[in-house]
Amino acid sequence: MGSPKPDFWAILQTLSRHEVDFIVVGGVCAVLHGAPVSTFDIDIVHARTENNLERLVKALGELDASYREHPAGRIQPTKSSMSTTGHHLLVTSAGPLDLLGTVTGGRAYEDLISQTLELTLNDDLTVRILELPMLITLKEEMGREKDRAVLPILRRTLDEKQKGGE
Amino acid sequence: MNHATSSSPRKVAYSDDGVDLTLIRWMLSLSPAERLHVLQNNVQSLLRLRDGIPKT
Repeated sequence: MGSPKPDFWAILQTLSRHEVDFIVVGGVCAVLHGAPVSTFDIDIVHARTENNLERLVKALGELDASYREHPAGRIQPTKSSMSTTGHHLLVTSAGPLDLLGTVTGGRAYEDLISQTLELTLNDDLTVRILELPMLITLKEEMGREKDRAVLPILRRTLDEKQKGGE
Repeated sequence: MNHATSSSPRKVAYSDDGVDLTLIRWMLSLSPAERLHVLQNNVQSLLRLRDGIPKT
C-alpha cells in the first residue's frame, strides 16, 4: 500500500467538524497568507484542555492517525499522549499531520492565540492561522536551515501584503 | 539590483534577496481558499511526477 496522499482540506474539515481548537502554523499557514512555498504536511498547535483533547482524539480516530516513526506498530495517538508539550508526527488517511503541543519558546496554544486570525475557506470551514509576523518570528527563532531558507519569501510576502494594504 | 517586469515597469520582479515577487503578487491576488487549492494541486502534481503516474 502506498503512502496516503496529502489532502489538506480533508484534515482541516475533519478537525473543524469535531470542533477541535487548533492553530495552523508552518507551510500551510504560509500558503494561506499568500507565500509561494510548498509543503507535504500540515502543522497545527492544538489546545491541550481536557475537552479539546477528547475532540481531537475523536477527529484523529476518524482520520485513522498513527505515529509516522512506527509504521509497522501502528501506534495511535491517545488523549494522554496529546496532552504533552511535544511534537506528534502522524500519518493519517489524508496524509501527514504534525500536532505540536508547543512551538519554539515553549509557546502553547494559549500563548499564540492573540497572534492569530480566522480565515473562512468556505461555508463550512473556518480555520485559525498564525499571523504572518508571528510565523516569521517563530521561523527566525527555530533557526534551522529549512526555516532560514523560507524566511526571505515570508518577509517579502509580508512586505507585499503591507504595500497592498492587507 | 532589482529587475523590472516588462508589463509593469514600476514594479520589480525580484527582490534584492532573489525572491520572485511576481509569484507572491499572483498568490496574493487569490483568495485563501484558492491558495490552498494551489498548494494541494502542486503537491498532487509533484507526487504524480515522483510516481510516474500520468494524469487521467
